[in-house]
Amino acid sequence: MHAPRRRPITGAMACAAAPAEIRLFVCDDAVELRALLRLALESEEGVSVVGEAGSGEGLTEAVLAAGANVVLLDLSMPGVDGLEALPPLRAAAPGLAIVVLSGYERERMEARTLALGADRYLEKHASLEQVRLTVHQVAAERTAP
Amino acid sequence: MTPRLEAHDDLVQRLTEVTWALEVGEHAQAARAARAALALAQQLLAAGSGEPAPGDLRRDDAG
Repeated sequence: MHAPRRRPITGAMACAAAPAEIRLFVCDDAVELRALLRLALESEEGVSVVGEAGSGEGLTEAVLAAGANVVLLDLSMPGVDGLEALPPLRAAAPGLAIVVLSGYERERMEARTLALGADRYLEKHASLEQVRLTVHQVAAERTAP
Repeated sequence: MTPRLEAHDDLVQRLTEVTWALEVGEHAQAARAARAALALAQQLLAAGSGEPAPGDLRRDDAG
């Protein structure tokens, strides 16, 4: 097994208002995508992936136990899907930043997921850099007084 | 979720893997994911077309 060739992810966005540490929880049934998200997002100091799940089942408890402050949430998953998992997660953690990351078109799902408690909706054709910037944005917004 | 919808979701997942793997420089993983996406797309094409008769394969536009 070879060591991953990391290309540094750069971005000009200032994150002065972001929390000192971004503790990310990734919920997506595609294990390969979780690994790529971890690889890309943890390349930055101050960001750590504190938990992963492949289903929305037990998600609220897992996120709270991990002490995450940002969640990346897929919608189509086995067991409990993202639309089912979102309301109890938001109810249990009002200060949590939640980004839905889904293959469904924005026009079809964004308003619905925002109404259920998500902070942002990203389509899966977003680049990892867009995901990274969005994670910082929502973390900063949720931290702001 | 219907099997067909699930297959489309799988296709999106694989294509997402291609683009993200390329973004972090994992070219071998991107190539594997691209082949998997191609195989899935072919399955969807076969499932949706049945046994084509002459003329059924005319496209409206060139691909």
